Amino acid sequence: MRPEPKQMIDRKALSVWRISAALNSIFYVLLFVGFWFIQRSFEFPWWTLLIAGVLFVLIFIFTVIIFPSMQWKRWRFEVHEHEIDLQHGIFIKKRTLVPMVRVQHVDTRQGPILKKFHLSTVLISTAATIHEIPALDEEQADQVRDYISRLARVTEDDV
Amino acid sequence: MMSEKKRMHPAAIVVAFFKQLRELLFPIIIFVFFGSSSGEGFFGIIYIAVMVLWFAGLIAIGVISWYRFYYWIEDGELRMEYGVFVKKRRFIPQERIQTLDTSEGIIQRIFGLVKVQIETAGGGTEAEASLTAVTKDEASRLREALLYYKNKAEALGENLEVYGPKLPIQQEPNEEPVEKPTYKASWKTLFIVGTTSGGIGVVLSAVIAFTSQFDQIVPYEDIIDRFGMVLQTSVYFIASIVFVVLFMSWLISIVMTMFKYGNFTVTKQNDELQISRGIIEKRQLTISLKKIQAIRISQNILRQPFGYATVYVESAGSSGGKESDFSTILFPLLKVSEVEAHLKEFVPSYLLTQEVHGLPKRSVIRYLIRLMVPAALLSIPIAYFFQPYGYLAFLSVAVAGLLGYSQYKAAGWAMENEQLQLSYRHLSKNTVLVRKKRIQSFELRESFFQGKRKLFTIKAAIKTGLGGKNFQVVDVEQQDGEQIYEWYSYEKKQGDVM
Repeated sequence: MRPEPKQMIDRKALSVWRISAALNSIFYVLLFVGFWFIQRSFEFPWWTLLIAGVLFVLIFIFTVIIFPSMQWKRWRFEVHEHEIDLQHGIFIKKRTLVPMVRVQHVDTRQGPILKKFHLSTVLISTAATIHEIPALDEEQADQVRDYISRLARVTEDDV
Repeated sequence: MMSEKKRMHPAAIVVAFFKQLRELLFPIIIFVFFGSSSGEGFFGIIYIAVMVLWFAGLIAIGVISWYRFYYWIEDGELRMEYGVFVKKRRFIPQERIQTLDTSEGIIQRIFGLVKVQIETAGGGTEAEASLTAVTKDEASRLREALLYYKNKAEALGENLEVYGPKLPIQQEPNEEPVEKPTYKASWKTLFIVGTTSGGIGVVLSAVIAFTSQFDQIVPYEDIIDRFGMVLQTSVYFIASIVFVVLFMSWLISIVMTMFKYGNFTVTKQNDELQISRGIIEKRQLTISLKKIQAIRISQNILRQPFGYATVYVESAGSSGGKESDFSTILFPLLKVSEVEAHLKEFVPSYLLTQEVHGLPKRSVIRYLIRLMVPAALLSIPIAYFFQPYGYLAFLSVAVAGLLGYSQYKAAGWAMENEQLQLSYRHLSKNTVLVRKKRIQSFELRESFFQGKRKLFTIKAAIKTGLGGKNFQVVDVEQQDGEQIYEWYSYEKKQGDVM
C-alpha cells in the first residue's frame, strides 16, 4: 500500500468549517431554549435543564472545536498523472481512488463563507460518483481543476 | 428516406390515456372511496361532474397531444415536434442512437402495433424518444433508416442494395443463418421462479388493502357477529382463513410471474443481447455488450437451498425492462453450476471463479455483533412490556445471529487480471462481476474499530442507468484490501505532480 497522499487542504478550511458548525449550533441553542420553556411550564426538576445545558456545551465543543481539526488533519489528496487519490473521514477513514480515465468533468464551487476566505471546493464527477476536495485556495483550486480536466482529456474512453 | 412529417397511429391516444390513468390510479381510488360516502344530493352531482370533466380533460389532452406530435427523419436525424401549448422539438442524430427497442403492450397488440423506444447513451430512466404506437412496417422502416447508418459507418463500403426495402422486425439484414446462442426459459423454470420469488408479500399487501376498501360494501361486522360464536370457539377457523389467503396470494404471485416472464428468450447476436419476455405484454430489449457495467448473480433465501440463482445485467442507459434495483434480468433461474457456462456463452468477457477469498476469522464477531446487538436492544423492551409471551422476542436475536453468520460465510472477493468479483449478503446472496475499466471509483474504508482489528471495507462504484451503484464487502483482511487497491490503481510508479 502506498503511503497516504501528501497534499493537505488549506489551513483556513478550519475557520470555514468552524463558522458553519457554529451557525449549525444555533439550531441546538433554539432546542435548548425550547427545553428551558418546557422545563419551566411543566416544572421538570432543575437537573434536567442542567443535563440539557451540559449536552449543548458538549455538542458545541465537539462540532465546532474538535471535529474540524480532526477532519483537517485527516484530509489528504494527491493528483497523480493517471488517478486522483483522496483520504478523509474522522471515524471512518476513507481512501478513494478516481482514475483520470473515468473523470467526466471537474468543477469548482464557492459558497459565501468560502468566498470570504478566498477558498474554493473542487468537485470531481465520474459517471457514477462525485468526489470533492474541500476548501483549497482559490488559485490552487483553479489550477487543480484545469490540471485534472487536462489529464482527463488525454485518455478518452467510453463509459 | 422518409422525410415527410408523420403522426403516430391514433391508438397512441388510447395508450396515453391508460398510462395517465395508471399514474393517477391512487388518487382516483382515494377520490372514489372518499367521495362515494357522500354520493347524494348536491355534492353527489358535483362529484360526478368533477369525475366526468376530469375524464373528458384526460381524453382531450390525449387527442391534442397525439395530433400535435410529429416525427420524421431528416439530415440523418430523428426529429420530433410535440407539445400541447408550447411547440417543442427534439432532434436526435443517428450516430448518437444506441438502441432501438420494440415492445408490445396489451393495447398495441389489440391494434397490431408496436411501441418503439430509442435510446442514446445518456442516463435517466426514460427513453430519449418513445413512439408509443406505430405499425410494424413503420417500426422496421425506422430501424432500417436509423440503424442502417450505424451499420454503414461500421462496415464501410457496404452496398446499399443488399438491404431489402422492408425488413421484418428484429432481423438483422444480410445475416447468414448462423447458430446464435439462445436461451429459453422453460415453463417449469418459470414456475419455480414464481414459487420462490417472494412476490407473495406484494400481492398480500395488495389483497389486504383491497379487502379493507370493501368494508363499506361487504358487511364484515354482520358476518363476524353471526359467526361470533364460531369464531370464539375456533382459533383453527381463523388460522385456516389466514392460511387460505396466504396460499391464494402465493398462487396469484406465481401466475403474475408466469405472465410477466413467459416466453423468456435471450439471443446473442454479434455483440448484442436481445431479451424478450411476456405473454400479454411483450417486452423486447437490446443490450449492447459494450454497455454492460457489471453482472450480478443473486440467490434469495428460498432459492439458495435448491442451488438456484438469478443472473442480472447492470447496464448503463437502457430503460424499459428494469426490474428490482434497476437491473435487467438476464437469466431468471439457473442452477448455480450452470451459471459459469451460460456466462461464457453470452457474456464471454465475464468469468465466474469459484476460488473466492473469504474473510478472516476475526471478522465473524463483527458480523454477529452488527445484527445481534440491535435485535437484543429491540427485544428487551418487548419482553419487558408483554410478559410472558414477550420473551419470544429473544428468538429474533438467534435469527439475527444466524443471518450474521451466513453473511460472514457469503462474503468474499476474487480477482482475475481485469475483473473483480465481490460477494456479499444482505438477505439474498449476491455475487458481482465487474471489469476494472467499469469501476468508476474505488474506496477503502476503515472505521476506528476496523482499524484496531486490521480490517477494511472495500467499495466499488459503477455507473447504471440511474447514476451510480455501489457494491461493498465489509471486513476484508487488511492485506487483501490493499492488494485490491493496488490492482485498481492506474499509477504504476510514484508520479509526483504539482
